[in-house]
Amino acid sequence: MRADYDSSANAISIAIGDTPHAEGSDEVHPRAIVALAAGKPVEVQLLYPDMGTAEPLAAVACRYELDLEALQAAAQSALAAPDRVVSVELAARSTT
Amino acid sequence: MPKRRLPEPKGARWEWDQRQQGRRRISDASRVGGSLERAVWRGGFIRTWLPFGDEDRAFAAGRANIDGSMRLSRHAKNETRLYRISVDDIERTVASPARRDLDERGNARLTGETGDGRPILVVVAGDDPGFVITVFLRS
Repeated sequence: MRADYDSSANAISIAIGDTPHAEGSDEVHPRAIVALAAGKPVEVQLLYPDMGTAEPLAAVACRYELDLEALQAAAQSALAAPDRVVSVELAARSTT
Repeated sequence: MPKRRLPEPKGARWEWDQRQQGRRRISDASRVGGSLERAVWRGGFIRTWLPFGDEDRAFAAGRANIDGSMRLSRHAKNETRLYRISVDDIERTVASPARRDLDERGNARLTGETGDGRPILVVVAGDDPGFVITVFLRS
């Protein structure tokens, strides 16, 4: 999962897959837009993350059954390193 | 260009009419590839003495490309590649949006279409009408 926070636009993009193009989108929240390819999410666009990331990302995760913790980790990583692409890899939760 | 002197205020209804006339003239100028200056030369009242409120900011965003100062954020450029939206599509939408709204930050949400008829939405900064924050295809 790759994320990029553009500080001048005040927007985060979180790439979910490697699909280069999308043919539509779904505004699941006033500040969260999901890009769709063949009906599947390929990118999450989060506007104005300074207004909070939890609510819009929760809406995205709920609608498309995505890993909310992974989305939050990607968004926070992008905010921690503005204007740089960050890659986030999450392993399965340890049970031991 | 000679400066045009604006008349004194004549009430809210009169001001509203003047602003509507200004919008139509700007719209006409953009359709024929003309300039904002030409619209002024033809007698349109581009600005009034009203406070620079939300409606005015959205209107200002709509004329962003008439003065040739449209800039895309890095985020918006990435989105154009993802959705295969051209800069021409964005310029056309900004110049003549089918609909204008404001988002919760006061930025203008301009609805339009790509050249091949796909609906798009362009978000333009309310405090910088030439700056495109993002763009995406609407399903």
